[in-house]
Amino acid sequence: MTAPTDPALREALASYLLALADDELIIGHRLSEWTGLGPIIEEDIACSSMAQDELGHSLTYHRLRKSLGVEEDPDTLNFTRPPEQFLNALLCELPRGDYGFTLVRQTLYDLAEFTRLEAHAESSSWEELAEASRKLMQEEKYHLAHGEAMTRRLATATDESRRRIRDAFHELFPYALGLFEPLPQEELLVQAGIKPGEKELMDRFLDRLDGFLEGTDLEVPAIRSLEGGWEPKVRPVFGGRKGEHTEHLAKLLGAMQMLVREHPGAQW
Amino acid sequence: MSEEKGKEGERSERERRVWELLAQVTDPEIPTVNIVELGLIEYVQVEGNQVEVGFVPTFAGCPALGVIKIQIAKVLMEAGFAPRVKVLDIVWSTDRIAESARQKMKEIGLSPPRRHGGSFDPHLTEKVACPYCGSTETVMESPFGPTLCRAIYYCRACQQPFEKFKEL
Repeated sequence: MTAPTDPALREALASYLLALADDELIIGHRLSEWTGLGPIIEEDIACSSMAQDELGHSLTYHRLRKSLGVEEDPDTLNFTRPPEQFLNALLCELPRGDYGFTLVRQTLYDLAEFTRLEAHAESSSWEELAEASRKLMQEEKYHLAHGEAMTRRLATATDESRRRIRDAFHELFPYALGLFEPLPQEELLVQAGIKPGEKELMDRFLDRLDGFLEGTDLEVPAIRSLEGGWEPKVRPVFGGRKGEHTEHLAKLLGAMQMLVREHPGAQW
Repeated sequence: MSEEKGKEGERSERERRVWELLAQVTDPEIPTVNIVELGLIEYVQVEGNQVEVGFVPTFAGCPALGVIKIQIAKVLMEAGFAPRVKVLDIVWSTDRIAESARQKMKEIGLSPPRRHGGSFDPHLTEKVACPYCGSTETVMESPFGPTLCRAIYYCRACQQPFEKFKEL
């Protein structure tokens, strides 16, 4: 299918793409906060590289929006929107915490992102989205290789490293589920075959996470139901897709948007 | 008929010239390798002095792409062409990199990507050949390096750190 023509569907799709673009932008910004401060130089570089990748992915979603006919310029959107107009999941905006917290957040995020990209690549009725997802998946493989190696290493090393990874995992898990908060017009996208429902994506994510945690002392805080899905034991933290954010996003945007707000229209 | 052929000949001559010019544009991050041998150019279309260049981007977040696009336009304009660089939605793969570029990578101590035919699964335990001594007694130190396209390795045989162009 070429870009959908139905106005309601286009609008739903544009919001969906903006939510994904915002996830990438905000988590990318958080990763970039490690530039120059990483615990060891390899991890400094890894966080900076992944930040660069996520910003590239954000731009990819903006390009898809443009191909739908959305006129908004990504720079203007990113540097002038107030927090309540951002649609990112709350997972992405939490302060970077210690390195273990960043690592666990990134790994949960990448596992979720890969799951979503794979679903788009395999079955989206909008070929442009499927093709773009295939491209991003190739890059995400390196994030997963990194996340798997580092999380596993720390989750099975000393008492302190295990404790930090475990605490971060339990704190972040409900927020990770928040990546699967459905947008208000979700049904339209599912009916048009553009993406699977968020509940289905969440189930696939938990399958993947379950496999990922094998060999560590961590377990998915959810019960596998007889039909093959999962019933989380904790309540997902939703709100981001409706523009309801923590105070942390406003602070992040304060730093990110400062230059453009102080010097509107500046060129460099 | 012969006039037609003459026009065709002129066009293919100009096309050849455009490809030559494009081969002068190098990757700012690997300056010995040019963009044609990296597989970044899908096609050129020449109509009079108008040139359309079909450009295939690599990593979504690669900051070199903007610079490369400017350089393409510059080199063609200086030769009297009116260029248009069209960014294509094609998925670039390291399999598009020509043998000549792979050789040049080795010469500067950068291990070239393995040909993977579309499927690869990076692991930190994957063995790759050291570009200095050829040994496969190597370990990946990090899947991320000084640029998005490179990973950092260490060779246990010659005790040298080296970089590898990642498969994509």
